[in-house]
Amino acid sequence: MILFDGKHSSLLEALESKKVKVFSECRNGFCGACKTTVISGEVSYLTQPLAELKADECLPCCCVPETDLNLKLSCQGV
Amino acid sequence: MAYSTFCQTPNDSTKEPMFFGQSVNVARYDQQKYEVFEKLIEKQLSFFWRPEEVDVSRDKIDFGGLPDHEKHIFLSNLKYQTLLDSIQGRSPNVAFLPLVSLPELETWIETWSFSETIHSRSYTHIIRNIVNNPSVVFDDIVENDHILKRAGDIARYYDDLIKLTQVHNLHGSGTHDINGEKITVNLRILKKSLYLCMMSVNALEAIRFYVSFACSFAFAERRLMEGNAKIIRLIARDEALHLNSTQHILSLMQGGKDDPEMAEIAVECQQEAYDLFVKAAEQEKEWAKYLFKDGSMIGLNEQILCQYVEFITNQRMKSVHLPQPYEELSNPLPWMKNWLESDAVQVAPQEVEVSSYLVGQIDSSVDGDEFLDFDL
Repeated sequence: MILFDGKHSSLLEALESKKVKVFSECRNGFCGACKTTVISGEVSYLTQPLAELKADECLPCCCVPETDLNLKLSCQGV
Repeated sequence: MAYSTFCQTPNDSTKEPMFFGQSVNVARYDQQKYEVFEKLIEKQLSFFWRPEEVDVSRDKIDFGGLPDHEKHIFLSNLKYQTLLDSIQGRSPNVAFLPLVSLPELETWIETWSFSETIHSRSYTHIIRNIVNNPSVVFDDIVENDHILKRAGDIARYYDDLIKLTQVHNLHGSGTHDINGEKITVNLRILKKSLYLCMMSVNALEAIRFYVSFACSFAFAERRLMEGNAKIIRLIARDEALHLNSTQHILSLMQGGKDDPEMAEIAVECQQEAYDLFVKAAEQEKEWAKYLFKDGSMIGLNEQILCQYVEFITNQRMKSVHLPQPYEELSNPLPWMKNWLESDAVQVAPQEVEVSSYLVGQIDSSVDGDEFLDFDL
């Protein structure tokens, strides 16, 4: 359970601050490395991502949650 | 379907597939079938940089102080990257342009390939600075067996596609006797060759480049060869974009909406594509062995680099919808992300933080409140 309180500029930063490890590279929406599956909830993008996304995927590096989010995250340290 | 530089048959390019439709005639971008290529072009143009902007003069001193086995690691990587970009600076143009049928994709391929020529120029910039005679480095590229072995596998897919395209263009479908060699070509064979070539380019941009990126950044983590690392960082930023584009193209091919026959071919070629990726990864692991043959460097050795190759291969193969060949493990080089983060890239000396700036951007919205604390 992670509280997104607006102190972080992106969902990825919020996850990292809670030591959830997400593989990331460009952190600007064009490499697609941090692609994560959304189980429920919605996100909105700060900058439109260039990487290809399926309907149930998000790029945490350039989005913030709009509603409560349930993400499919790896339990292994990445 | 002979190629023409300006096909005079009027057509609506938004109804053409990405490849093997009618050759592009008018280079117009007001209507687009796949907007993503336009966005990639804009991004790539906003990333424009020149190697001379990066000061590499300190690197000469650093290089002089490196032990011999680290000099070997550094120079070998530079040689390999020079080879990769020599291929990438021309091949997408030569191989893909005669086949493409969308103006935005055509321009993206040209923009992409052009940016690779900047990378090639930057290697000359780096090498000229650290060795007295650059020929010693450049000449070895076509003599070094470890480099040549991989060059063969990279060029093979391009060469195959180019040859088939030429035969098809001149003689059409069928089996042709060319210089004593029987060559069978038809549209399906061409499409298959293109699909595999795109996969091989993806593997090149996704895995092969990252082995030398890791080494360059490992030096810079120790505050050595930092000028070089700055350049490699700019190159890595471009490569992430190129990687994204080949992933997009492959996905569109696999999806089948663009060209149903391509989707069939994608299924048919899955094993071949898988093998191609694994072969690239295994070759890179062999290269890691060659790099560290005389000793490792602080922070990086053969074992860690091989783990990184496996980790990154899994990630990249997932992105192009292929099964993952290696055991799932955690990122063995977590500090790589600090170097790959694109907003930390410094372009010009005055642009310390933001890399993706656009030249000539002006904020024209002025609020009345801005004048409140004005006194005359």
